[in-house]
Amino acid sequence: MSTEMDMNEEESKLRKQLQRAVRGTEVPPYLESKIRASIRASETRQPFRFGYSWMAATAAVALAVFGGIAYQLGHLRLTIGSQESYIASVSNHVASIMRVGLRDHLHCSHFRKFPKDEPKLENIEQKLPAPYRGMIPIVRKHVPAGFQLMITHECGYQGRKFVHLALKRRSQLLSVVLAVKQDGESFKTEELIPALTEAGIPFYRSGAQQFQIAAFESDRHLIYIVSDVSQAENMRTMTAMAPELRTYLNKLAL
Amino acid sequence: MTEGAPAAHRFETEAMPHLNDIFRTATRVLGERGRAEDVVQEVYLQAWKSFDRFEAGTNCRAWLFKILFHCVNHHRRKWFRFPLLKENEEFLEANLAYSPPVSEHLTDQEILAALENIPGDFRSVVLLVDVEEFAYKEAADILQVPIGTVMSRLSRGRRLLREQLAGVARSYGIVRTAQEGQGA
Repeated sequence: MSTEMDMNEEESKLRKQLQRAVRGTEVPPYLESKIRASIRASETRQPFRFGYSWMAATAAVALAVFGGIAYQLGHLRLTIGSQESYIASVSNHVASIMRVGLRDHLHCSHFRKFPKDEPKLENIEQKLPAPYRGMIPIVRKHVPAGFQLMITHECGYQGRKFVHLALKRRSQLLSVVLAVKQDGESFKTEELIPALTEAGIPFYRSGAQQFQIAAFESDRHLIYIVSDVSQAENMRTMTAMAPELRTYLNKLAL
Repeated sequence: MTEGAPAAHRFETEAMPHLNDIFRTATRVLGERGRAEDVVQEVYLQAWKSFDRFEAGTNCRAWLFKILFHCVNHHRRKWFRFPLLKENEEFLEANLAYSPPVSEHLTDQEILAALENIPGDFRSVVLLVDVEEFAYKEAADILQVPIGTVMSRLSRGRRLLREQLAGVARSYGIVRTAQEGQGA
């Protein structure tokens, strides 16, 4: 290939970085079905091409309306199967221990339709197991301005339980996800390199598509913040929250 | 349906597998997933409608990319937010004399942001040649420009990208400045 011949080592390195970055973009699973549907629609309307062009317009409007409704109702946007396929395709881009938090965020926040207004705290904190309720003020104190606490609960995904606090700021989502460590699970044993260490806490960072992940560990928990804010803001939130959160979690008698 | 069924099968096996490539290129060229989804849908619909003109055994992927850039150019004319950026060549030459080293510590997001900051004409060629690995001749055919234009845009696009990335890396203090690089 002429392109290869023309390249020096630096260019070849940049090319690989670029390929990795661009190829990280996955096609949304619903797009394939939309394309097939529009092709099928174009096939069926061909015999009436001249006399019934209004039918095409009606079909397009209907498709747009139903598409819009389905998009707005996030939980209806995809079937369970395609949600799973989306979660798998996104989370495949990050290390296995980082997937733990990312998957729960995608499963439990990304596909959820949240209420428009922030619920009353007394209505949602009851859904969180009692020992973890003390996390709520810590999380609220440190999340970026404008984020509202929409959900606090214990949830499960693929047989694993999570403590999950989901927050929303306009169209942006941020999840604080806790998972109890299993069988010696640790960022250290996964040999991940910390992105930074502050207050003696090593912080780990990853990302896939628009999702940013920051993580650290306490004695018994893996703690993640997964969001679609910028990488820097996501990590800032985590480093601000972590010392207090770690102290609180290490004191928990579970 | 007698003719339709085999065509549908051929389209499914020859065109649909390239959906991911088409979508990611459209996303990077247009800079927005929503618009990319619309354009990709249009690409596939146009491809289906003219599939009888596609010669079996030829490069279906390149054919789809050609339709993609045709649609992108059509939409760029409609969307005033996406004008064709014609960079002053003298300006580019003056600013691209130094090709700085790129740090390995840059994230995918930083690389994509840098890519987004280079003018569309250069970005398209970089995407086609460096990411999608088309030969210069194929890229020229897809973009409907002479092969020499592809080569010069690629060279400038790569240098612009390196300059952008070096700027990011300098802000972290992990690469030398241009003067240091040239003086070394």
